[in-house]
Amino acid sequence: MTLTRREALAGALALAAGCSKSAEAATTTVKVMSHPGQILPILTHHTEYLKKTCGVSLRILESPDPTSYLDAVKDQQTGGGRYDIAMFFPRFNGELAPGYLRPLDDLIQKHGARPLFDNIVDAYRILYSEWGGKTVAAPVDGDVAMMYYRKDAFENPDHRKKFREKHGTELAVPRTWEEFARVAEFFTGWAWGPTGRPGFGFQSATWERAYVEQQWAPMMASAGGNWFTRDLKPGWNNAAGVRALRDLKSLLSFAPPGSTSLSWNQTMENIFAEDVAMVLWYMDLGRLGMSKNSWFAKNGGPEKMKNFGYAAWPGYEIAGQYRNFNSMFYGRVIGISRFSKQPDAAFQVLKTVLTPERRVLALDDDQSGSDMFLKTDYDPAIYKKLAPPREFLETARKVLDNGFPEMQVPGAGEYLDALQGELHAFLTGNGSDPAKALQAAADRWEAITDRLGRSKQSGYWAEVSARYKRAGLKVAEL
Amino acid sequence: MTAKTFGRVMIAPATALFLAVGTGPLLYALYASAHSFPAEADAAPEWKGAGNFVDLSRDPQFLKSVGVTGMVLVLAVTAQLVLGFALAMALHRVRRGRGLVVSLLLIPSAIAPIVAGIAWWMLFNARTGPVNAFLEMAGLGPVEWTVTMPGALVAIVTALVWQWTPFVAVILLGGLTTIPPSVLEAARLDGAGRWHTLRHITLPYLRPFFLVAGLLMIIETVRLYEVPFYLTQGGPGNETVLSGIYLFKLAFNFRNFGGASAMALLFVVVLSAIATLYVRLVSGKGRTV
Repeated sequence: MTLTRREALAGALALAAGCSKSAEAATTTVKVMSHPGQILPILTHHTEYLKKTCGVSLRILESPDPTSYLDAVKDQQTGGGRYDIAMFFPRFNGELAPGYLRPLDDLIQKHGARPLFDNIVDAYRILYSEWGGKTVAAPVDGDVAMMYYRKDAFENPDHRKKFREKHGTELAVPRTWEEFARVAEFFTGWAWGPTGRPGFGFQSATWERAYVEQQWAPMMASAGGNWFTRDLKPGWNNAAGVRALRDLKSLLSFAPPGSTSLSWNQTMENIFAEDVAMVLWYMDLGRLGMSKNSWFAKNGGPEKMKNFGYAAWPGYEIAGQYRNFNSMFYGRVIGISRFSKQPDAAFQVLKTVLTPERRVLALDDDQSGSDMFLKTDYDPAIYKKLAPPREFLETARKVLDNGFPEMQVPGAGEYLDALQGELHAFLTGNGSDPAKALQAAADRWEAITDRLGRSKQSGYWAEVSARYKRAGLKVAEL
Repeated sequence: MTAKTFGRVMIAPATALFLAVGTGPLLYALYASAHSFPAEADAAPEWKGAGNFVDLSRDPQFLKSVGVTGMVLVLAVTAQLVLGFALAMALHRVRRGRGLVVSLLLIPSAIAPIVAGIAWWMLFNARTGPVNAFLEMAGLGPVEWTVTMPGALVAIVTALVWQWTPFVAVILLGGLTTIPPSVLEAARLDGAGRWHTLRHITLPYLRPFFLVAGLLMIIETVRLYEVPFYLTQGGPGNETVLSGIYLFKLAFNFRNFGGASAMALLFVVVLSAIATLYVRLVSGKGRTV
């Protein structure tokens, strides 16, 4: 009898799953810091299970997404004990790994959980779970952005004819940012959709200051940039960064008015309230869009989602080399505090959220914001309540091959704040020269690097770069 | 034991507690301001001497945050005092139901700052906010208040004036009730008009109340964090990164606890200086009512 790869994986996962009530776990309360709202189901689906099966009682301590990392820092600074498990954005892995996170490799070995970690999609496992050659975290929410486009706009024969007459080429899903701009411009300012109002070319996720780099950074990488050069100069203070920033700002003319001041939810509302031809958004849209009970439903999401097609973000073709990266920002990971006195019990929580048959409860939940990150999450057959289309799941898996990850070296908070300030000023119209904006941010990056220690930071970046390579990321090496 | 000594003994525990609670954090801030704190586990704080203060003096973001805070301080506190005074004068004429009105007026200042921030963000929202709806009704285009200048500054100052003006009014109303009616009556009999009464009786009587209200508002503005952060996140760019926001960023986003402690100590010194200057100006040394 021969096993298929899927059967072999299922067998290994079944063996790794579950937990035995250990003496330690029998009476253990594990304090878990979690992002609130739609992120809570990642844990709340397992509270009863963990209590019954593992003897682990969860005490969930909510911490708002943008500041959860600060709570972990405060916990470290005050000697620990506040959390056994912390949830944070993976950009802070480098910040927390050296002093706060407990390496997990011995626990993985001890609890036979290697198959569960091997079931994490390589991009998330290599880029977001590891630090300095050790496993330090486990993903609980995998986010990657893709392009959603309105099939009714692209397939309409009249629109196609009009586009051909105007541009001399076929109206097609754009492959490059130049094509994207052309298509976005074409669909802006005239009533081409069911609302009967003038439509728009595109809508991206929020441009709020704290998230403003999510749109620009992958474009910069596609144009041949990177977070850093080998000698730790900013890898985006160059033609690639300027091009991406200039292109991004010019695209704003094709987005609904006021886009730069919209929140995440408001950008989502625009997608359904207006006629928007192309949408650059994260996986929640495709996973939940068809559900009548999700937060998309109030805007007529399920009906309108039927018109959506799925594709990767466009890229740049430079000197014969085509690169297209998609934002891989804002997924979430959890790690065990090195101060935790019950790491084994805490690890049972990690094991549980990584076990496919437990994991699916949060994934197949229209009130949950946790998106796919396990290899087994992309199988349409596992969904009983939601009905994400196969085409969406396949695209979501495929775009991860070109997912551009968050910047992760220690100091990420300060580096990103410096960049966000200048990007935001330029994109909101408070600056006119993209090169100047990037130079100002670069000056601050250099100062931060000098303060944190250039050689130490270079070492960290070399380790991150090595993981980029291992994950098959074709990002420019500068 | 003399009565004096006995008294000292009795207040000693309270004094010790006050010193521990009051000076403990200050002393720790002093210690932290002279050190840097590496992120690595078990790494000991490193001695930096005055290095954190020197770094701050060269930090353009810090200097900018001081400038922005100064601007907000002047605009907001001036508006709060002027409008608060006008409101207090109006309230002083209310004879029935004043207590209820005062209670209602205090609601904004009782609201958690983060809630006020959210409320004003919604009001100034470019897409759904009523402020833009009014502007559009008036034939004026929508303004992206929170991401443009001076829109972002206007939004912050408006929120602060809304939240704290009634509080200032209540303090000044308390002052107005202390003016003896006989003094006002005497002025009226002497032929003093409204302006003269206001200038030579009301305002001098209110001087200590302006002092208290102004000081509280200055302190509130200098340590401001939630309202502006929720409204603008410090944007557009870094245009509205007030000192309170920068202090928080320095400590937690940038993990520079030494720098943040140095900045906090500078706050204490600067606030004390402002308070002293303000007290001298408002108390009008040598002048009597």
